[in-house]
Amino acid sequence: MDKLGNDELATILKWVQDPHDRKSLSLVCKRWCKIEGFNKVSLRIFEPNSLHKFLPRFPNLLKFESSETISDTQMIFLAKTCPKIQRLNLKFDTFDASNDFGDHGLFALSKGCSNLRSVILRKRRGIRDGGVASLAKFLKNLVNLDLGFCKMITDEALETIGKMGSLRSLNLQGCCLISDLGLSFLANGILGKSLVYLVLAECDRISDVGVMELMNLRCLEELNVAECGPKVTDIGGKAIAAMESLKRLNLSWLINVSDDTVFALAEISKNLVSLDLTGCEMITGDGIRAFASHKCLCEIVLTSVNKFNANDLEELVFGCKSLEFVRVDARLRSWIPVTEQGNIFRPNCWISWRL
Amino acid sequence: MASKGNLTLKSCNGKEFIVEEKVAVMSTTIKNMVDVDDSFAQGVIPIIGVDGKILAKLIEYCKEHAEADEDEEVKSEEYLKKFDEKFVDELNLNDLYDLLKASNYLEITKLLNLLCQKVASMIKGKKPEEIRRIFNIKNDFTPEEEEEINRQNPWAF
Repeated sequence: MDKLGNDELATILKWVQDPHDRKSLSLVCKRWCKIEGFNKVSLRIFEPNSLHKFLPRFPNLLKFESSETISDTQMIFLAKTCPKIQRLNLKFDTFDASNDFGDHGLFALSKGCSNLRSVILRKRRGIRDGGVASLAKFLKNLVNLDLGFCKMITDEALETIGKMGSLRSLNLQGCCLISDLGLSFLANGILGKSLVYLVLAECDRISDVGVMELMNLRCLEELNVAECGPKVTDIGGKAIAAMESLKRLNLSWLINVSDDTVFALAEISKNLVSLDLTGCEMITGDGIRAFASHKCLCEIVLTSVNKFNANDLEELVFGCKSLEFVRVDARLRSWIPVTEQGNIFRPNCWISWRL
Repeated sequence: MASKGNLTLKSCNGKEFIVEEKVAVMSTTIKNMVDVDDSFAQGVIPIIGVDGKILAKLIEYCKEHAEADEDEEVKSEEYLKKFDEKFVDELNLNDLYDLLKASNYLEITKLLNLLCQKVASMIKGKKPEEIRRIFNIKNDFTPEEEEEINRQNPWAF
């Protein structure tokens, strides 16, 4: 084995990906341990407290994951030790957040790992607007940002995000302090020219005014405004329908969205492929029938929508030829006579009856 | 001197092999030499650091694959797979290393991948001590160092 140079050994190790095998490799001898660490591209950490001991073995990491508490000091160390990281997933999964990192750590990380393309910070409650500002300042190649349930961030953070020209995917689920003002920052910055995917679910301060601002997101293909509360009504719904690029839309549990929105979607949203109307109580069979003439809708979710019957469903399934998947409550089936149950089944269209 | 369409390859211990150009250019390194400087195509190409035995093995491999690339009918994918299997199985450890080094230097990607996979398959599913035995590697860790790495490993995947 001494005959082989380090680069040849590294080439061999690329063919060994199983984590258990990689562990065995690192225990063979010092040289193998070094080369194994040097060529490791992805790491998931379970015990950040020993980070300072083992991380220096892996200077070329491209992907780093941990759902544990990580301190600011550890974040600074990570940034210094592994500057090549491109994908960071720190989705938090622990109850005790008392020593978790905040803006200080995020600043060091953004500055140190400027190649980051994907950053997932879900439930990291220590992050405030300042931390988001450092992301925007240093990460010029950031494509995907998930700040779901980072509950401390406000409209100010959205103002800096609006200036990020590379971002394509943004998740702000449960960021409950953001308001219409924030959405106007978001949609009117250069971000409006690049953003493709946006989740605003459970941001319950927003209203029709903010939703109307979203019309400036010229290439948005997927929008999730589920559970955004009673201030999003048909006015917002109709504004969304006018967004030409939109392909996938989730309006779940918007109790003030009615058939008017659905009519507009069916008529104007020519590119709509997927629509989730779960729990939109005001929607009736009239709205559902409107989609019978839609040309490209593939899937629709109608669970917890009560004001329609089997005939409406039948007209939708047979009218909308592109439809491949419908989810409805199982209770609806019990209202259909057994003899007619077969009628609403069409080949290539699967109806899922949710219990 | 090789006739037109053939190249002469010379091993480090002076053995010469006349091979068809299409066989020789399976090696990206040789291909680049021939492309850049026409005199290589006329004269003798020295293959530094590769002895006659290993060069013969390399040529055997490249010949089969170059012919298969030219005519899939005669040498099917299945035939090649069997050939590859037999080719690596017949190598002893020393030849395996030498061939791997040579195919890396000569950039014969297909062969390099094949040999790397072979070595990887000898590693997979084995404990560190088994790997040391197979490849005749000395454990140079102190017991403390070994324990430290062992302790770190479960914390990170």
